[in-house]
Amino acid sequence: MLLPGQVKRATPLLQLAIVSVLVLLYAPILLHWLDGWLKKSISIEHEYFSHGMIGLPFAGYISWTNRKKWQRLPDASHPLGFICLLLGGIFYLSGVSEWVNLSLPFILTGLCLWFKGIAGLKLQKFPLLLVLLATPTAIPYLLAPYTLPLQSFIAGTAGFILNQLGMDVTVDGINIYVGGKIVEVAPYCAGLKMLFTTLYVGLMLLYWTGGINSRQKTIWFLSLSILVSVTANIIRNTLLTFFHGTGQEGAFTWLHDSWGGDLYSASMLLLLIPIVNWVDNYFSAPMHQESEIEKGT
Amino acid sequence: MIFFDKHLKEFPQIAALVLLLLLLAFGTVPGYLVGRWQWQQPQPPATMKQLRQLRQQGLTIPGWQNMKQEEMQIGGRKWSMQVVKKENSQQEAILLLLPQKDPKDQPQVEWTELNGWWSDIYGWQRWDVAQFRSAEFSVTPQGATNSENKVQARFFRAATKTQTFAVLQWYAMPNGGDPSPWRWFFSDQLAQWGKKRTPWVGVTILLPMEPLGKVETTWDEVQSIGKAVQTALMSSSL
Repeated sequence: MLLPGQVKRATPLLQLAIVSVLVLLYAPILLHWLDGWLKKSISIEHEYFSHGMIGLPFAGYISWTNRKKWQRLPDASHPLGFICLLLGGIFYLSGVSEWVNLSLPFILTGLCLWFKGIAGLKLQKFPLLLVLLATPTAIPYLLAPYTLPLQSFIAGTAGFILNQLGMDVTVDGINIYVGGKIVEVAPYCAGLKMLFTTLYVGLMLLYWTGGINSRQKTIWFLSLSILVSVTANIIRNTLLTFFHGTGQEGAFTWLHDSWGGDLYSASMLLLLIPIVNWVDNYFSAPMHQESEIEKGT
Repeated sequence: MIFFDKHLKEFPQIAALVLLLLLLAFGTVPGYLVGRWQWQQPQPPATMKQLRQLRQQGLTIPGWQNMKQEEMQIGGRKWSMQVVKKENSQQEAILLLLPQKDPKDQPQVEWTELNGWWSDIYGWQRWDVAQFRSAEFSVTPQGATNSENKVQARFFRAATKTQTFAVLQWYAMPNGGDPSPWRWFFSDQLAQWGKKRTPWVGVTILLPMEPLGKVETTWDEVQSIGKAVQTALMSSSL
């Protein structure tokens, strides 16, 4: 026979068991992602999600800081939670890479709904979003056939800039002819990876500064981030064409395949910090100040 | 009953734990025991060997004679290039085939790449693409009487300074063909759930035509080669 006190204590034990089994289920998968992202040994589509290296720990950290609020929520089981868990389970057992990956956000969402209902999902929605957007899927592969206009735009702009700098450059579609050589702006050079990473880090910064609670700040900051990312990618492709055209193969490889590319992306991401601060200050300005400015003009 | 009453409050947790334990037992433990996981390496398509042979030796098309065959590097990938001649006719055509290389190899919209690199290989100028349209034809596999396999393809005129071609392009699969990798992707995902794979071969047919003429006039001829190639691929390599 169980005493009331023992029944009460059984719950933390159950929670510990659930977390342990989750760790055992997903450790091999998370390690596979981490290894692939670090060594770039994962497929080119799944490499697009390497922002998960910072996003997944951040999601874990947010959930951890929310733990008191989570415990205070009343227990409530939403049937949708069970459906999510069941679907996640089926995906997990399929053994098919894309679907096994997708099972992680499904199982986590399912657990939130199944334990704490809609309120639980609302509490954890941001970390769940970070997990979902860091889950490697085939989306970049499916987008690749449609990036042609973006590729042409980048090739055209890079060609224009180099022409202004006095180089003899011809652009034909996605190909840039310079110094008797061809530089092709391939689908995977279209800057989608950089764009994905920028938006992801942008979301994290918005959460960190609290700007995510203001629709105005969110829209402004994410739009500016897209602009910065696209501009940075055009500059990168221009530099690559310049290096290739002037025979500086070492510099080309450094920026194209080596850590130069990572350094370039990291610098661009650092630029997001002053932008988020500026957006935060600009739109947080007290209302009366704005009306004074209006009066002044 | 007392036990159930006392644990009713914990039912969601217990149910979730049981489900996760089932996943662990059937999904993860086998992987831990063997040291590798199914999702790490997809299995090869059943015809992997034939696909490799196809790149090295080209395709035998009934009614067409092989004049020449070689492996050729286009963009980062190796294609089979062959020149074929219709039996009892002067009609010649160039057939470029890109068979799947390994279990992880996916079609990557090679069409733009092919256009760009053409100039590198022959020193010709790039293709000047005109009269582009999407085309459709269907083939009936050998032995099957009432099943039709639909092929969607890109059909256009490609002109260089020296020569003009009618061009037909698609990704061939066991159940038909499509110029977009999407149809292959979904077919392959579905196949993987059944522990199978969908193999693919990128096909480009170049039929010489009158300089800067109307590509529509070649459609009957192009369609008949397209059908012959798809049928031959389905019976030999897919």
